[in-house]
Amino acid sequence: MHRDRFFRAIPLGLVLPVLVIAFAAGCGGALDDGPSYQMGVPYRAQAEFNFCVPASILMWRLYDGLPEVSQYTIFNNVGGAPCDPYDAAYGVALYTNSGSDAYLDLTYSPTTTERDELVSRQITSADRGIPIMPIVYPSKSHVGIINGGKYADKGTYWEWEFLYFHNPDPAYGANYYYTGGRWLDEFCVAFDAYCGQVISVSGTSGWSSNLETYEGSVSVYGGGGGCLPGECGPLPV
Amino acid sequence: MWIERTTGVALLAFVTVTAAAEAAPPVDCSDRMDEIAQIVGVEGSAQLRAQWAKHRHFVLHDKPGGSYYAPQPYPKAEDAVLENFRYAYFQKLFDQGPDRLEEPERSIYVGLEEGTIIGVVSKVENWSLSRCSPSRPVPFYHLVRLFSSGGKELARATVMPSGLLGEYAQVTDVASRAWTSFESIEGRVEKMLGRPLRVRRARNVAIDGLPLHCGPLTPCAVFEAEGSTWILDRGALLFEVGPDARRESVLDHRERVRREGAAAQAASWSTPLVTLGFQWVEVALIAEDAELAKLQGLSEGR
Repeated sequence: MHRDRFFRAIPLGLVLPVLVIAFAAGCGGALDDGPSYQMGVPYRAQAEFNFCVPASILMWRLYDGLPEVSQYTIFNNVGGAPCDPYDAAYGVALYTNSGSDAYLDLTYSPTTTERDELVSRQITSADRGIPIMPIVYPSKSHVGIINGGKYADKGTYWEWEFLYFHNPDPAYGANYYYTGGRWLDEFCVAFDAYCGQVISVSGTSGWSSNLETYEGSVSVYGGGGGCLPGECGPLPV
Repeated sequence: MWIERTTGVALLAFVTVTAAAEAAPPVDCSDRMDEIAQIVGVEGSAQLRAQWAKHRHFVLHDKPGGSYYAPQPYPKAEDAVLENFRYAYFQKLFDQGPDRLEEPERSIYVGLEEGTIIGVVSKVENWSLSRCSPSRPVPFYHLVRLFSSGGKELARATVMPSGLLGEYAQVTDVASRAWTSFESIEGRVEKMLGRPLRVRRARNVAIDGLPLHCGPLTPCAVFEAEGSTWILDRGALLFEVGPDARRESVLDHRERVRREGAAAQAASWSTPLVTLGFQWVEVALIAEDAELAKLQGLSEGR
């Protein structure tokens, strides 16, 4: 099959088995937790109303075992203007180890294929135990850090149930439990002007092969509208 | 929050500007079927409606354990909403049991099992873009608030119109303070404005794009007064959707941001671009409760 046609056929969210199988096989992060896993990213609330980027950089840095740094210092050293997502990528590269090769993975008016690819890179990086800083909400006004998720083995398919999100906004806090369907709403849907994430190059190597390998075997649980009926893996008869 | 505190210079570049003739929010899916179909990539509104019907069929016919299963699909009564929440909590979210949970989640789990946790259900209007999701319309959802027997709020969750869980989180102090009871709105607004407003049609609404983010678990209080729609954001910021508010279609918004770059979407503090249903609209900050804003984590000296 031609590669482009193949990717168009892959439903959004069907890449979770990459994570599921990798964790079951014993690679990645907190494996002993089984189908519900947390990467163990320390949580920090944002010190100011507009410090979601410094707080997220700090969480990533602490996960790498590096010493605490003031969010104000991070804010000042990434240009003092956290509104620019490129500053966020620069800050991750500056203040973390596992994100020293981080880049802004951004797509305007994403197609279904491009959304699948973003999610595949996201899951591949989580599988490697390297944090991801997704840009969230339809307004793309906020970032946080992914801290794990939950899946279920349904025998003939996998069900993506939850994604755990460290939201630096103090109204939300640590480990906000998104169902898979709602997460796709918040991270990347057709209506979004763009979708993006700060992600490590080395954390995502091999993502396209993962995407090809695990086609068509994941169902996305929960409310929200991240994938279309008939595109969410096995459906009830 | 990823916000510029300027007055929103980028907003001057609106492509689509309409005036007072616009109907009161929200713009509903039925008003924008062709636009939704174009963005989603289906051939028209008929195909879109067919997808929505298909999803409804799955929800109504799925079996226990399935990805589309809710014990009480499309619940109307509060008890049915709570039954759906309990199913999702015990069978999906924490199906590994309480032993591996940390406090305070373990106490919540046990309290739900023993019936000592009180669940309160509120209907919330959804004015985010997910209202017109490609797979299912979500014009509203149910917010479930969990309280201890002593009246302390412990956690919140959303249950979608289908009966499926949306999200779940323990309640922080900030979120707890952000809840505005309708009975207190007139007093709070008078304190902020320095004059009384006759508040009508107060309801809870999820809106995207506001500085404090009126998300699913922390909806805004929205009401009508003096010919305008007003938005009380976490009880601290009061915005007005004026009759001449500038509006931008979702399609035009995507195209503009693609042309101008991601920074063009950075939210303005005083004139944010927000979703009022399936449309982006510029609203204006009219008043602020500085004391509460500070308590809610906003910077000092504003």
